Amino acid sequence: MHISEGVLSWPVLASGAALAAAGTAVGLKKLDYDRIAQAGILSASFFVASLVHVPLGPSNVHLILNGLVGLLLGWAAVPAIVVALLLQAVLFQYGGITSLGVNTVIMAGPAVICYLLFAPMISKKPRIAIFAAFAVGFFSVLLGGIIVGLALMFTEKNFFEVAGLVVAAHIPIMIIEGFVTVFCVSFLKKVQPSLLPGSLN
Amino acid sequence: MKSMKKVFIIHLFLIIFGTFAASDANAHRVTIFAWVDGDTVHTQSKFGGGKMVNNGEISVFDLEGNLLLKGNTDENGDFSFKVPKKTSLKIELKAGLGHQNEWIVHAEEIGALQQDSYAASDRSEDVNEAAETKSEPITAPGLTREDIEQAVDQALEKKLKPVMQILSDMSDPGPRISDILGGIGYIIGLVGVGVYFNNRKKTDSETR
Repeated sequence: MHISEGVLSWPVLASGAALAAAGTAVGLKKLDYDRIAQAGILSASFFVASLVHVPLGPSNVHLILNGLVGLLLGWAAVPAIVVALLLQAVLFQYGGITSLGVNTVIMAGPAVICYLLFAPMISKKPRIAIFAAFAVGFFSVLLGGIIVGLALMFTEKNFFEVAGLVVAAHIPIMIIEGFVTVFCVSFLKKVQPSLLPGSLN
Repeated sequence: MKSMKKVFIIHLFLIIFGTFAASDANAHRVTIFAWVDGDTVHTQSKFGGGKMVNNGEISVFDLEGNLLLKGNTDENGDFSFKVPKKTSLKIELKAGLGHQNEWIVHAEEIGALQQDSYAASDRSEDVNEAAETKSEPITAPGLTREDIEQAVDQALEKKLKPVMQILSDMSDPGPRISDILGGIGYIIGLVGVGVYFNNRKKTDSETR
């Protein structure tokens, strides 16, 4: 999912960076004192999750966990993901510094969207909550793939082909992420329900 | 206290930008490694973590950016081609989905070998023309200088192949444990910074 340096044209990079900066600003504003530690821990999990590789096809895919980060942090997921992506770019050479903005949009965008769509359902009945948790994991990766396609459209031209390829390559990860999110949510429900959205108010 | 804060911020910036400066320019996730074997260039492409690039797209350019040839890697991430032109070659790998990287084969790597053999063959021709009998004592009967050169080259290539493989493996060590722990450390540090500033805000408003 990480787009390397030198792949995208500068308008795409610039708009990605602008969107990421705006998202980070909103996220930092919404990140209150009590949740800084939580954001840090989730940022660290996101940072490490990309090392869990699943070899597949011409590319290889890895856990992303952006859905889970989004679900637990809401808008604050954006700064958490920016930090993790920056460290991945610097330390692992995943993605790149110039493409940091675009990569942030790819991963943090779906995280926030899934949070807005599904977070209210998490505090509902267990069956609905499980469905919502799976959907968060699944759609956060799916949307990420679609955004990759959009970003690459300007260089590789064919949006449907690229997006289709990315999405197809990530179908196993979508399912795995779905289950991981379900597991985390049901675990948190038992152990620390206050971490889940909707339970605070 | 205010100046303390300023100093702190400056240090933070220094740390962050120092890290930027220290990280090398080729921040990519796929790697390509190429070496020259006689008149053939071998390339090996792989993803971080050691998985080979299957069916990745390889384009070879000269340094002016003219496309010389194209090809795809096999399932071992290998792709070999005859040297198309005696200049430095830029080998670009596109592994799909926004993964790409490049490797430059310098003219000396290609040139050294080729010029040597050209020079050698020129020389041996001269020798042949000038006095055929003179070259006889140097080489064994039935063997020309070229034959020996070729044999030596082949033997060397065979011997060097594992070394090249090791070099190729080393060109991308993938994330090391120190990288991973370092990254986590950075995040914990940032949490500390966040807590620090938040706490200051709190105590400031409390004392007022």
